Amino acid sequence: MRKKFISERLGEFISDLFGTGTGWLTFVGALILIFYIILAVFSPQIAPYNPTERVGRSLTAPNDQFIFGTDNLGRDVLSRVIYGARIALMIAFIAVAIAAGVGVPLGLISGFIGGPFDRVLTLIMDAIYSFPGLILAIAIAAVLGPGVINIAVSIAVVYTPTYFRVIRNQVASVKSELYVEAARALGAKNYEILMKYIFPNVLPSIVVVLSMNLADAIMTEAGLSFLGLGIAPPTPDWGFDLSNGQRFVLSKAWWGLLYPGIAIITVVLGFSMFSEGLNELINPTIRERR
Amino acid sequence: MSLKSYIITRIILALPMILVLLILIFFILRIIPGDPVLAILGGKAPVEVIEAKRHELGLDKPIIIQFFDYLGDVAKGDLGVSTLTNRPVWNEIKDRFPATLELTIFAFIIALVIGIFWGAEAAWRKDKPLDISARVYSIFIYAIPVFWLGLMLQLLFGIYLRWLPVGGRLSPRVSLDIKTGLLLLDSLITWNWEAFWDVLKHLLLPGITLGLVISSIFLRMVRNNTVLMLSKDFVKAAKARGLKPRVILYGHAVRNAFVPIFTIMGMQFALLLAGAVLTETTFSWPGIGSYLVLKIKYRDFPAIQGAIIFFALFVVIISIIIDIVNALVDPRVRY
Amino acid sequence: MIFEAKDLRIYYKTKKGYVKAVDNINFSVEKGQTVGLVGESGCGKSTFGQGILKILPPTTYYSGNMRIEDIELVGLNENEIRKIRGKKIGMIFQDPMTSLNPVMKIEKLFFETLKTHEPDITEEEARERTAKVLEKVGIEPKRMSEYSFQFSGGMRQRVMIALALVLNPILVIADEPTTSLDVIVQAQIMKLLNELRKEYDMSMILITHDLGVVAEMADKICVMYAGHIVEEASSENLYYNPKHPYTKLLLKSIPNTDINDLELKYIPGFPPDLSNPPVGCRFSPRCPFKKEICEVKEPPIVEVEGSKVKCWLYSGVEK
Repeated sequence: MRKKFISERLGEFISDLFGTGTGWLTFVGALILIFYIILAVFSPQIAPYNPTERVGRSLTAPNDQFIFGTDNLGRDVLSRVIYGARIALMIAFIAVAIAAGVGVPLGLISGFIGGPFDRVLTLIMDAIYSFPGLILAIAIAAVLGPGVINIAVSIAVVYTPTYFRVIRNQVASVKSELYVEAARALGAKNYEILMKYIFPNVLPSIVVVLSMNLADAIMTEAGLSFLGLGIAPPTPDWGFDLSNGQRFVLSKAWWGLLYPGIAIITVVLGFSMFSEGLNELINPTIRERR
Repeated sequence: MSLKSYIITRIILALPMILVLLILIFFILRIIPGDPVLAILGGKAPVEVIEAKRHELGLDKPIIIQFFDYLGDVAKGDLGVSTLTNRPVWNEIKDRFPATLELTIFAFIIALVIGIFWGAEAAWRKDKPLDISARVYSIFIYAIPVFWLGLMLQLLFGIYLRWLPVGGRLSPRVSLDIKTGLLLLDSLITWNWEAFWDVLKHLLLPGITLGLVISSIFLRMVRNNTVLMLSKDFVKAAKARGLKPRVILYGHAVRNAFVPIFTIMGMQFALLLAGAVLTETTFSWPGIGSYLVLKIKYRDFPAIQGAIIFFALFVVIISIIIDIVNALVDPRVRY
Repeated sequence: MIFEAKDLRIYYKTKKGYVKAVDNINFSVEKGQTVGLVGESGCGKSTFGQGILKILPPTTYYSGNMRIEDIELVGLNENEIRKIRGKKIGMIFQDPMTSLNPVMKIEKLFFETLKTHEPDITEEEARERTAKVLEKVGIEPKRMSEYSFQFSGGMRQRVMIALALVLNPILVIADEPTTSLDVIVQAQIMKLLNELRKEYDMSMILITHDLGVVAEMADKICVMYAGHIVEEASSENLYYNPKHPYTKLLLKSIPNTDINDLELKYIPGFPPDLSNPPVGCRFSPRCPFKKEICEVKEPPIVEVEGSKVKCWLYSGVEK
């Protein structure tokens, strides 16, 4: 039994509602992603204020000057939400890159070699896999301490087993295919077989898992930083801003809570729509399995 | 196979998993860069103090000895002593566990109720508004971070409407004899209605927050499986015997739809626990999740390790229980 | 007359439009009679069987009349027809593997059926009646606390039969009751059905694609093709003196054990698409005796030597 990615689950929900093969959903998802990537890359140009400086009175409700209001330190919430995209996307991309960078080679080797090495590695990966992801990330983040790379590593550990499992199982089945046997018979080296025949076969799965993994990474990052395990303040971060905003919930400062949350939700929806579309494109048969 | 031998087999099969989990936790918390002693004492402590602490914690022994000490301790139920409070970690966890249990059970029930009833009725009225709204609900609820949902409910019901408290388990002015630690149960068995009402009010927001988040999965599964079951021959046969629509829907279709759902409940429980950590923090709920977050703040490593081990065991135990329930619901598993 | 259908039409809705699965048929069952309803799959016979109980999808369209005793069925609402199902008319389905709920004990199926139609029944009484009817179909009553998957295919079909009989219905519809069983079990089940029909003094509609099966059991056989009843005759007449070309071909296609006749026979072509049936006689595209008029005008039903036939070959004068 496999844990499902948020994107995967959302993709199911979305195709329940709109049916499959809806290209416009992929398009909308891609638009949302491009929007956030632009926000992240050009935040200094887009954001009206410096996100880490006091620019107004504390806890100003949204008005013409600060359309998302200000936080307890008088910082512009809009600017912080815009800059928050940087951290969210950066950590998500790094985490996914690390998870794939570790999980894919291990899966390739483990599936290819087989034997006791494979069994031990599979057992370890399964154990990590069975653990509630966020709690595992919390444990690692607690040991590693704050910092972009540390958080990314904590998140990556949670998702490495997914890459490992997907790739390992595929390799194990591709390995016995006729053309691989033929290549071997013609004297191809292990390394060549792996890179020339097996890797191209599992590449589509890697792409799909990568795209699905991003929304989860963003959710996990938001959770970690909400719990105070993210990057150090005052760097703008949606999860951290939410936990900071919660301290002023009694003053009815709803704007500090609403906007970072909406940012997380839309970016997660965007990634999900996009990856679902990509999934259908690359893997048209995946529907039949569900 | 009898139910009893099924249960025993299931438990034996879980043992290697538990062992690997314990090894993993040990390695993550001990081997990964970062020195727990320095973390406890801070970088500026004198060398002798550091060495003494290292000895006290058994960290000067070879790693393999440390590992077996650790396994032995865990087997004895000894999770060490909190460096923050000097209390045994196991006792602290034991005190806080009922709060987490109460929250997760309550949330689970909410998720099941929403999932079963909405899912069943949606399946019965496929493609009608009730069904379509269920599908829209699932999308949004699943994209929402649980803590943000909690914050929004807090704002709405706690701050603006003032209907419900925004944190804690019991108002300070209410007295209650604590027996099981499950306050709802405690207030019931002592016939303390005032406390029952107060406890329920505190439980409602965090319970609903956590429950809603996993309800979407149940909702989808109940709905889709029920739609499938409603097309089965045995439903048609039940209809041909003149059974009432409710009996056909709940007694036959939903009941059978539940068989595949039970098998994935264990997975949902892991999700529920991760959500519980965030929910407990959002609502200052004094359970294991907020305990873990609190101890991380103070870098209380024995307590962190204890809490993580506890979560790991909890997940394994729940998955065993769910398999057993599954065997009870679906007799085919047993035979 | 126990059951009668007059000018009955049952159309069900699909994306392509209405499928005219039962199109203007007249059909009757006398008390104590067994009527066979025969045809290829997709000819509308199962739709008719399930249409009697109105257990087809709710968008299905019915017109004409159906009467069981004095009760008119077509106009009944869901709640009224529900009281007929199981109580007056029992139904036996084709596949006992899938028609019994796998997660319920056998007894539960009986109890809930009894309880629904006789709300005052006591637990003991329900148990007693279940035991009695199980005994009648040759199942040890103590097995009632087992699950359906613990029974073999033939035994499950016995359970299905018992379940259809437990309320003493006046009519039983058996929809391909033996198709999914192996040959020896088939014969046993058919024999059992025949005996029980007599013992319970019921009437029976036996739906099957296998003419060989009904010939011995049925008093009367109706041959259905593409939503029409094309021939209605006593089983003797039908077997030895078939009239309609379709019936003749159907009889020829029965596999026999004659060693000299190993040629596999089948009727060339396929049954028509019932959402857009052919004009005129619906069998005309496959009929070897086709005349001009067959493709233009629907044939009337005429009586020839005691059989009713819907075919232009027998209606002497062309109108």
